Amino acid sequence: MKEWQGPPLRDIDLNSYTMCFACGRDNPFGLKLEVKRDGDTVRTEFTPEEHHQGWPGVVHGGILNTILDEVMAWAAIHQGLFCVTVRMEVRIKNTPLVGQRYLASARVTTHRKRLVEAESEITLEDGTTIAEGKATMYIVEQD
Amino acid sequence: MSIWKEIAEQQDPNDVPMCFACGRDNEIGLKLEFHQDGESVEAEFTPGEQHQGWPGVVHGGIICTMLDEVIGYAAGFQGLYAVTARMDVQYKKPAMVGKSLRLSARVSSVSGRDVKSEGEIRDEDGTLVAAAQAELRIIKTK
Repeated sequence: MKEWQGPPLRDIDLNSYTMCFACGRDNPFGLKLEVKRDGDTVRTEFTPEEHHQGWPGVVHGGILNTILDEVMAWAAIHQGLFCVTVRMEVRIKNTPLVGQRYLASARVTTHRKRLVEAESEITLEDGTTIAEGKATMYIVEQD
Repeated sequence: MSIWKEIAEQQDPNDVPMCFACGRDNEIGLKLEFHQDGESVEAEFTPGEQHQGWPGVVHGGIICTMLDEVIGYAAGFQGLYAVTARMDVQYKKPAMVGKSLRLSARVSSVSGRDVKSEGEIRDEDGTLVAAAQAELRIIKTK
């Protein structure tokens, strides 16, 4: 990701930018995730509805990927690292049904030069793992 | 009964109107339409503002959604209806809101109930935006 063509990321007021598909509170199509910091970890929760499904009754893999990508990005942002994802690996461990409440979390595992690595997971409230994600992110800007 | 058995027995795999990626009746969905071109499955999509992560840049999760879907359709067009178990995505270039994208995928191997499929997204110039390799489990065959 040598040629970043997006806007200067540090200039974005993250409290007033509300159109992100995953976390924007004013995106009518979006997931409206509220991502919270908990020490080195970031956490969010989401209850998918019918329009988040792929096969009937099963949450679309792309929605799971979106949640994992988002929490990993926020884990980096909370360390002052404004990144874009360059690689992500997702493993789906158990079938994610529509209508259940899912908990997602992520943390940065390594940070060297312009690259950050992060890990994330989505679980049910009883701790059952639904999906695991690992990402490598490129630091566009940092504090 | 597991939901996969239920889907395999009761669902017409070509009729999923509420799928987030391809469902024609999903009001928030991408409404992707796929067509076959030889062994490859293809679609086009122009992301809107509602699909962005960073302002003006398509969300990585939407890129994943398109790749997951086109990869799944590559198997589906061979009569192998499947669910993704693992996906590895490489993002090569930011996809910009309002710029059309071309999606394609093909099955690379089939072994028992396991399918491997590869997909990619290119921009209007043909430049690679993202690529993915996935492992899927077959839930139903035609």
